Amino acid sequence: MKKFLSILLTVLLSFGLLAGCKGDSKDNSVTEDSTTKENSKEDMKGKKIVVGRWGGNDAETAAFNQVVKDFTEKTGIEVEERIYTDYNTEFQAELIGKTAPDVVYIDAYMAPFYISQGVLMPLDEQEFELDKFYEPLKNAFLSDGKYYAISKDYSTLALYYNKKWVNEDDIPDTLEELWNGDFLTNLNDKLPEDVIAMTYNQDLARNLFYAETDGASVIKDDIYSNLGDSKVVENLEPLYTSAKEGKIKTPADIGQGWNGDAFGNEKTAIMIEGNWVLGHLQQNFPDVDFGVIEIPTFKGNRGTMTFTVGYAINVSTKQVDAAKEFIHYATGVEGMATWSAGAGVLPSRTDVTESTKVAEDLLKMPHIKGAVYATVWQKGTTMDTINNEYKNYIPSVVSGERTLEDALKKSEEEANRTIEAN
Amino acid sequence: MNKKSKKLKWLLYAILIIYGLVTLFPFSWTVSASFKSYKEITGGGLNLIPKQPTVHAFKKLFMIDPNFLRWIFNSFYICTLGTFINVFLNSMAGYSLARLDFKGKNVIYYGVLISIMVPGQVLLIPNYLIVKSLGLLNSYNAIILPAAVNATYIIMMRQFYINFPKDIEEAANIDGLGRLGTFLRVSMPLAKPAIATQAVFIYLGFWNEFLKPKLYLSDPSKYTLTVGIQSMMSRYSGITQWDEVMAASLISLLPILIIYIFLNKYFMQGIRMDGEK
Repeated sequence: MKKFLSILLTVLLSFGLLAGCKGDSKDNSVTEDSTTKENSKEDMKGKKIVVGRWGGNDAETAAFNQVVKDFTEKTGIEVEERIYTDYNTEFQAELIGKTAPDVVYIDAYMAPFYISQGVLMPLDEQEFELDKFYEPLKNAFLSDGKYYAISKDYSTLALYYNKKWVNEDDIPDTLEELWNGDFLTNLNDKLPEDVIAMTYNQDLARNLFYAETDGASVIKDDIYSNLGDSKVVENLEPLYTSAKEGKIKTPADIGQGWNGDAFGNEKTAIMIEGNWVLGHLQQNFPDVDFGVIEIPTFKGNRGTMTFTVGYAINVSTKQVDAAKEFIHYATGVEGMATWSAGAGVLPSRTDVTESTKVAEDLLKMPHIKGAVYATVWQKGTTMDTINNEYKNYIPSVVSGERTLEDALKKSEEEANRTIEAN
Repeated sequence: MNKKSKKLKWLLYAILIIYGLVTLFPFSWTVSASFKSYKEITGGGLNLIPKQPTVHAFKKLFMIDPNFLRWIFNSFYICTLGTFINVFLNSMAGYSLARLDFKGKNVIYYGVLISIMVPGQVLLIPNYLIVKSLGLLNSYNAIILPAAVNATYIIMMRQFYINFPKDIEEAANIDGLGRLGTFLRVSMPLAKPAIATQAVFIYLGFWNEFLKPKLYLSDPSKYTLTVGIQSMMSRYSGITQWDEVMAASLISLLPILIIYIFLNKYFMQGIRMDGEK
């Protein structure tokens, strides 16, 4: 019920935003010379900004507090944090009420929506040293040649295997071979009865990078679903052929909530999962001995998904300079190093990756490698509808009720009907 | 009792027992899960007796989590104050609509009735803007004041006082009590069952309230328990630490359970709403 109410509220708020919260979209970013900057830094002492973010685990909270403490010591600007438990609902209500924070987390997935509403301030590429950021992460907040948020960290997907049953060298180099070759069948044969070879997800957030291989696109004309496109169908065929043959299963099929629990409880030998699972496995399933490698290639290309969150400035803020100063510090070399080392996340800057030596961690290294070639989980403002229909129709493919082509065509029609109605 | 009705009786018992077990099982599982490790919870199995019982989740909540105790206090504070204000104002309003004659009484009564029919969700944004303009955001008053009266219980109290014997009030009046004195010293004390009933429901309403605290409170130390538990569910990069959430849910049930046990007698009487002493 609460989830339903949240969704309802989000829809209402979205209308409210469209109706009355269109912010000033003029470019407020200005380039200043270094002398002016120093003077303005002096002027900023004693100023106060509000930073909106969602909560994290204890390590993330401690790391954020440390970044804020260091920033305040350095600049004299005070930071008040505002923590969201339901970010989209609360943030949109604050935008309507003109009480939104000066600086706020923006999930790359939601960025197109907030950018289109004109509530985020464009940020200068040079000022925030965006040339130092991984290209996909930097571009996650790019719209019409302007950047609207600066990535603070990221996650990518990689392949996890249980060393008890799987030898790294035996894992095929391509996804086609992994899904459709004999490897999984042979692995299934030697596993205990209640363990399966591999789990997978029926979600575009996980499947997008191979669905769009070789120039395919799940969206056409910027908003409409294009899932029924023959190229998309062809790209998804190997995955669902494997699923139909029972070689791979979803965590739900084996009574598990998600891949992390299925892998931790040793119900699956292989999964493709994000680096957020590392802490979870170490905390709750310390006995599981596992390795991590990059996802095998698909049609000869390396691919993975990346998920990132950036700092953005509320266009209505009265503390533009102080807000910029905060983002400058938090996404700069020092701030990002403190944040990523403390919170155990991956730094979005290449120079911080090097300085913190995070790539030396064998479990994180495959995730870091993915940052260069990853597909960002972000695709316009209608992706929720498209993905929902995809998730609705895919089970009928696995059960043999429909062909993949039929299911994707049907999901495309349903999604487009909803998009047109809205 | 003939053979057929005996069989029917057993069938009814069997259905009721099965229904009872089905209803009770999720709650029992919640209690059991709060004493299990995360690994055991997610490892599958519906066993109610933990294989390796642990109080780790409770320890984490009370000894490591900096805010959990504070959330309990916040919920108590908001519920208690909100309930007191509500009971007093609802009773007064109900009494006025039942006993006093004034111009526009019926208009007000129908206005109150209509207000019940407006879904609360529709009012969230206007309420947010009002709370903001009153400068109440991120304060307990943001939850308490907009909910200081409740139309449903105004109607309930009106019905109660309509059926309440007038003779008692007239006797108090002859003894020298004015309208306010009669209300506070005679009518209110005799309305205990109805008051207890609305108090339980209002308390429950405040205790379970989720959207408003979520919208109005931004400082984690001011969260109520419902918002706090929800924030716990997403703090590990969206991964729910089920052992902690189950333990927190169990703790959140206890105060309500205790209040219900205490007020059960009045609660059952209040449902009758007949105004007997």
